[in-house]
Amino acid sequence: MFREMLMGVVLGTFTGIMPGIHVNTLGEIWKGNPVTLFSMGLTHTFLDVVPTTFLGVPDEGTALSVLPAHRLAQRGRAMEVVRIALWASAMAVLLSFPLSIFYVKLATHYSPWIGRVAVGILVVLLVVFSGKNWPRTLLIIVLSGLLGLVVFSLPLTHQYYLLFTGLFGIPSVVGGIRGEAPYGEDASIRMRTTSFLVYSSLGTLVGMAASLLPAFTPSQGAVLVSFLSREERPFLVALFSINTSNFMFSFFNYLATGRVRNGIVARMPPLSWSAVHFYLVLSLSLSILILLYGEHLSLFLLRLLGRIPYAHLNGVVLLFLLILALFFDGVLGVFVLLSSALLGIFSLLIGAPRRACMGVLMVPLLVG
Amino acid sequence: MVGKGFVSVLLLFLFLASLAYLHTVSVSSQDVFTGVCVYSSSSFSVLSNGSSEITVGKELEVGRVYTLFGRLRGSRMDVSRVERSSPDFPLEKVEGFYWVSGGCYLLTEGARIKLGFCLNVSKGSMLSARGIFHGRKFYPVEYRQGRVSSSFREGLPVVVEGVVMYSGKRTILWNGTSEIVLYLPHGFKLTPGKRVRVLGLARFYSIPSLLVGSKGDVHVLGYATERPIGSAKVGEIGRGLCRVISRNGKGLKLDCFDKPLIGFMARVGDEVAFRALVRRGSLLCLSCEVVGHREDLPNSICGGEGVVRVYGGVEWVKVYRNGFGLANVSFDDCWILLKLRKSLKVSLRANETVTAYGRFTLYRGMPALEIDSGEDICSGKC
Repeated sequence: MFREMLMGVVLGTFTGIMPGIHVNTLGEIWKGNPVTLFSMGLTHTFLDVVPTTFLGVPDEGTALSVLPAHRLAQRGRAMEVVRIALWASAMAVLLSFPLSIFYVKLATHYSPWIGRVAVGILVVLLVVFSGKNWPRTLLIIVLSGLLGLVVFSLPLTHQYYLLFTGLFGIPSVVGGIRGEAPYGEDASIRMRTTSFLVYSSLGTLVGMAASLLPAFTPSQGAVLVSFLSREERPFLVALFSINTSNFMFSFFNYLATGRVRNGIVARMPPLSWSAVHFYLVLSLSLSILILLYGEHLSLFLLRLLGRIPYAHLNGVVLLFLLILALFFDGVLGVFVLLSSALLGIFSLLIGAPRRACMGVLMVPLLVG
Repeated sequence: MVGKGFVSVLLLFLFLASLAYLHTVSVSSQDVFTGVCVYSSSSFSVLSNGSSEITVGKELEVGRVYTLFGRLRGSRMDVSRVERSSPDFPLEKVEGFYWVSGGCYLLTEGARIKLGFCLNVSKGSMLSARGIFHGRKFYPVEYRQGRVSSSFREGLPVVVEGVVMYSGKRTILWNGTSEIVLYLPHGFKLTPGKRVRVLGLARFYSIPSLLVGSKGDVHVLGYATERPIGSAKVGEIGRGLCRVISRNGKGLKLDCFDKPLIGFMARVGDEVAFRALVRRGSLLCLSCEVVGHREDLPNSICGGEGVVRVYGGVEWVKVYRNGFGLANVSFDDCWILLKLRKSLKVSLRANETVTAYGRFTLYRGMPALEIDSGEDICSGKC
């Protein structure tokens, strides 16, 4: 059992720190037992902060964190972002213990229309909260929505990678070619503990809700949180908690109802709710383990990346992302990646909020 | 230096052009699948064409044929369009009787095929269906409804019309030629004399039987045909006005019909108006009433027909060793011997006044009165 857990930690660490490699990608190849898969998925949610912050390459769960995380990193607070992510994720694991009791009762009462209504409200909020910027927000929602509708009907295997890397990652990487490299080894969190706890709890609850509603993704949950705080740190705390909490509760949902809410649990054999205690203990052990080495590993990577000229690094990352798209989905994949990137850069140029690009998921859902 | 506005417009143009291209690719490379919806929930549906199945994240109507346009991802499809359509895949033909009992079935000789969904056809009717099997269930796509069978075939539905002859432990129906035992749902009873149409599953035990699944399978059509008792046949209701000529454990023997009237009590000599169901061995009283009391009969000591009332004074009484007795009763110039069987448990004495009800007979060539029971003889003018 310990061996399976360690195997999961190693694999999850790999997918977490590697830009563009989602945990589901490895999950498709790696037919491990449920302990390995669970450990891999949870470790990934702790460590996917690394490519997001250091390289500006997010995945589905951390898409909206790219700008604030990258911005903080370029102001010399790179390790603070890493610590925020690690502790916000650990908090989500801890809070999932008591919430799991209520969750099992809620999980059996979901309906897809609730997800649609929630997303519909979210779109309205997105536009309304943009103030004078609402026409640009609406334009990006519509354009990204059209992109989502088209891409989801294409013969692709890694649409999420292509869309999110294109919309959020490539604009950051391209911007980084002439920008400043992330730095900052001071990991102290410049935020009050109570504020950290409040936003982490909020993020955990949103992540829980997102796992209940099949249509409601962690990124959409992050959009919701973005209305609550315009500051970088509270937003990042909430977002990283959402990411981990969503994984935890998707797993609980699978135990309670058998419904598959993420790519990792889809590869697990049927498990009963009685296994929840074992997995809660496992998640606690994993959290402690990742907290022990996560920062050191991130610091090592930060120092390593610091030795490479940042413009060259971003050029290499960009090339790597394109090769990955080619590997996943061939020329069509590269084309989709570049099309998404065009929209991502366009949204930056016209000054629309990045969260408007979440229309890529919201519009297809609303259209049905 | 190129302006920011120009770059934005250029990017937008390039994006829209690439979107248009991707749309063309999407349309030209769409996967198409036609199948019958075999499962549907609020979050997803499963379609099958008999050989393969596809899951889609839409709520569809079970039993309908749809064509899906979209992207196949293993056994799942991300659909861009769903259309109702006709099957373009081979359909299997199944013929049987539609039956509902804890699910919907097609009953054939020797097989019970569960349907994937219930149809809007009459229970028990013959069905010729074309569709697909998915798992153990059959999903009809097209079907033609026939009639409900009226001939008995073991295990298959049959509809029977007839008159309820017996109810209670066993309910027996008379269909005009034979009796059929009905096994009705628990607690459900039918009243004798009612004309009913019953749908059930035929079973051949000692006599033809019908297993009736639900109360809804029994339709009461009214009462059986009613005729004067003289012309009423088995399974019909006879009505008449007759006199009770004897009474025994089997019922009342009437002077107008050869079968005993059961389910009603009257005394020998009483006149009864009745509506009764004619069974093979009896008449079952449905509504009966005594309209003429025997006390109103005239004194027929001098002669009469059928059941008579005899009144007079006892001249002498003779009792033999075996308990059989004779009593000579006279009134005016007429006399008659009352036959007093031991079982009557009656003892008369000379000079008593007596009234008796019975039928004329002879005793050693002499006029006598046959009395059925002790209740038909009493002292005094009664």
